[in-house]
Amino acid sequence: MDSDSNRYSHLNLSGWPFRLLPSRGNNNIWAGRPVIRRKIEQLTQQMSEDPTSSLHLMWADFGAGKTHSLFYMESLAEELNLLPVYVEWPKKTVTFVDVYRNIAQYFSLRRLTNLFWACCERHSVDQMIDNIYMISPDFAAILERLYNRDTNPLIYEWLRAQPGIPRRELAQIGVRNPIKTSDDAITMLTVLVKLVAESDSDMKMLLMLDEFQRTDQLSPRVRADVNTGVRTLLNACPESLSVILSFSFGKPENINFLLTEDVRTLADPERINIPKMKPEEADEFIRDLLRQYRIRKEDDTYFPFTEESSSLLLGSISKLTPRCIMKRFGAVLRRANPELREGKLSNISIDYAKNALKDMHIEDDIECK
Amino acid sequence: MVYSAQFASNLEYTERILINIVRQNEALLPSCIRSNTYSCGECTLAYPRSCLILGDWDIRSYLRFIMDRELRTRELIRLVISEHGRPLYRDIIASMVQARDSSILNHAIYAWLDSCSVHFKAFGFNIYGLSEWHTE
Repeated sequence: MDSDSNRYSHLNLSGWPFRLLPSRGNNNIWAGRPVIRRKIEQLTQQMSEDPTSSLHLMWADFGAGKTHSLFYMESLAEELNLLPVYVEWPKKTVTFVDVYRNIAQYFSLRRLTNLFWACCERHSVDQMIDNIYMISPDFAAILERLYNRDTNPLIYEWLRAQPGIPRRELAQIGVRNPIKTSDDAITMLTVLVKLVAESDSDMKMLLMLDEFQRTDQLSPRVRADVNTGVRTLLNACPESLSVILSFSFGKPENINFLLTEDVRTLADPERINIPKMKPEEADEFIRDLLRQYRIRKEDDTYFPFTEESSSLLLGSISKLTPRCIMKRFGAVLRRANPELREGKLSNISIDYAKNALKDMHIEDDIECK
Repeated sequence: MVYSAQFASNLEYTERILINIVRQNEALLPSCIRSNTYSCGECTLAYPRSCLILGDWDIRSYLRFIMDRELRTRELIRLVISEHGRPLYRDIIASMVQARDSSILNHAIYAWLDSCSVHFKAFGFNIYGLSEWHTE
């Protein structure tokens, strides 16, 4: 961050504020939209305080900030008794095992071992192994090996449900069955939730499944299978698990066509909706975003833009989403940055912004024009 | 007016032909169906002496009603896909359409998706979106 402060000090910014892709590096930055921010904070707090399992839905318009909202929630969760597990819905889903594979990637051997050790500090090893054995004898065998610092790579391959591992190789790590069916996947997840719950007082897993809209391209059979997977997982873990399904498509109500009735009835009726912004919200967004990157807290809230050039740029965007705003402002700033650095420009005036827009072929920007 | 069984069969056949035409390209419909003009000399559907439509306003009205219903179906399919904003599996499209008009059957929706390449494109097996998305 120090080198960033030097690099953008002529802009009075500690870093580059206009990012098209969400990143965990700035997941604690939230600009504008105080109502949505409050809802996310309230929901995170509620999930932390309520030990029972829950299912929540989050919709966002395209480019409206769904993934960044989840990263923001992740940063809040880390301060509470929640273990946030952010996972993208797989691009190709044949059964619920594919969903499990993506979740399992979060649990590296080190992470899983540390989790188990934390459990064993609160309960005895034997007690933990016995408890896990009741759910999955194979997983209990693996945990015992991890506790004894076994680093056989087959362990990780089995945990990640890699297909095609011969049974004789599985026997080497004390496992009888590969993870092949949706039921196997749910059993594995149940154990993981239990480990999280036992690792610390009132600990809960917050499973954030992003890009759930990908299920709209699954066949009815597969869609039913993944819905059953979600439902069965919540049934198997009545406590210590909160699941967030986040999705982006044009109409939030269309989620009702992707969820089976039994999953729909489980979901919290209060959904988080993140629509595109109104003009005044977009203005607040820009001011707030720049403020959070300010080195020197000066009065000029729009610098290196001006209020007029900012207004012009926002007016050129027909769909006011963070992504479109970042794209437009980022493009103009990238163009003006060398001149600002050399002192040839004192700020990005309205005339400069007008010329920049002319050169930018914004009519080709289908997403944001 | 009472129609014979043969006539009913011919009418059903004509109806099916017209439905196939409208699903592929409504501009190819005979002018008497698309408008109030008759261009029997250019018609590819039937000869004037065997044409069911010529001279029978009831038949023409009925077939126009069928065409209007088909075009409404197409527009509804376009609307739900457009609102959703991304390609989706055909059974979900059907559910969305039927949520607005329960009289439209699955096979009619699937037939539109399969045959009307002007409006709908396949983006994968049984996954459809608007054809203009394909070029973006």
